[in-house]
Amino acid sequence: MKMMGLLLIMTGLTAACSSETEQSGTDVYDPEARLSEMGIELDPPTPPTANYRRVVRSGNLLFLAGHGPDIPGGDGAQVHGTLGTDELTIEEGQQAARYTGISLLNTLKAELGDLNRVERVVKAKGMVKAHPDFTQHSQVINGFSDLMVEVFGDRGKHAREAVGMTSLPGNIPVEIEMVVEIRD
Amino acid sequence: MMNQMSRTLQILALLLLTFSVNELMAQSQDVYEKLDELGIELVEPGEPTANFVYAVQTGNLVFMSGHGPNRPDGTQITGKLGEGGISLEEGQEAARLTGIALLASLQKEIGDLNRIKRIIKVEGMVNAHPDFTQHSQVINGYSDLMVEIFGESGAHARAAVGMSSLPGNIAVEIAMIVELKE
Repeated sequence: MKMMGLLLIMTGLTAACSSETEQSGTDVYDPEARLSEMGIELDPPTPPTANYRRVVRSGNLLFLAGHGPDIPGGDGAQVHGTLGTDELTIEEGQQAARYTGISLLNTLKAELGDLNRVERVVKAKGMVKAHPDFTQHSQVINGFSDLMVEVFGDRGKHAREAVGMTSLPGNIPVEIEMVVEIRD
Repeated sequence: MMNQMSRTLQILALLLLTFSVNELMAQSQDVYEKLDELGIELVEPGEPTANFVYAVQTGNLVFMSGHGPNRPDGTQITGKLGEGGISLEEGQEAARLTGIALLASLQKEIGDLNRIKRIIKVEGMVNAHPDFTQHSQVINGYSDLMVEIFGESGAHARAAVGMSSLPGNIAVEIAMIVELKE
């Protein structure tokens, strides 16, 4: 009888252990390690210059303000121009979207301390400054979406909007805002 | 004593009323019967062609990607609203088709549209000339559909705005946030 009890406890323990391994199986993707591998360094963001915040938390959701394409290591310099004109190619637009993704990661890192606290990138709105005849907004915003999946794996796969704007602050070609689910 | 009794009765009556209202809500029409009545068929969407998904659920909220006006034959309604562009009616039809596309994706994500508790928030983006002003009328094509299908649960907060361009020159792009029942 005692043996049976012990056996039951053992079985229970094994089950608990294996489910824990499964759990950590989904967590092996370490965004901090990925960023180092990719050679991306995150800098603390400068505070906003007006009465808004770069990020606001509600429950376990973070709502991030629209960010722009800050050139990494560029001392606050940004990409400028309009898609669908001579000013920027699709590739340059994609790079701007990627830079914007890095700006958003800067803000996330400052808020969370550790990007492993990101449970899921839920939603992104990608706004492209474009000529009225421009049609390749999705390709431009892929620069951001690809970065999120490179950094977070499946947890980086988000719902998104890609749209065209007539003008954006400071003539930036891309502005992106996002919603992120986090864990404590 | 009499006072107490009448108060108890009042409370009982109130409880009864609450229960019967709940019952009515629970008995509200099956979403699929409604879709049948309207002659709407949901076509299962293919996989997205890039690193994003059509819907993400967090807690009991589902955040939907921006969708476009897919016709049943696989083509899309393209063109701008306003001067020299497509008509207001075509714009409304585009918004309605976009609503159907959103429901098709949502069904794939959650399995059963009867799980929807409320359409919470909608962003209706209209591909429009700078002088266009009837964005609200265009997006009504979507909003009317949601209320036709879901009744009061389909009534949502919304933004209707004009974009200077949209992917593939689609006439309308709409994104939404939906709350699911517990």
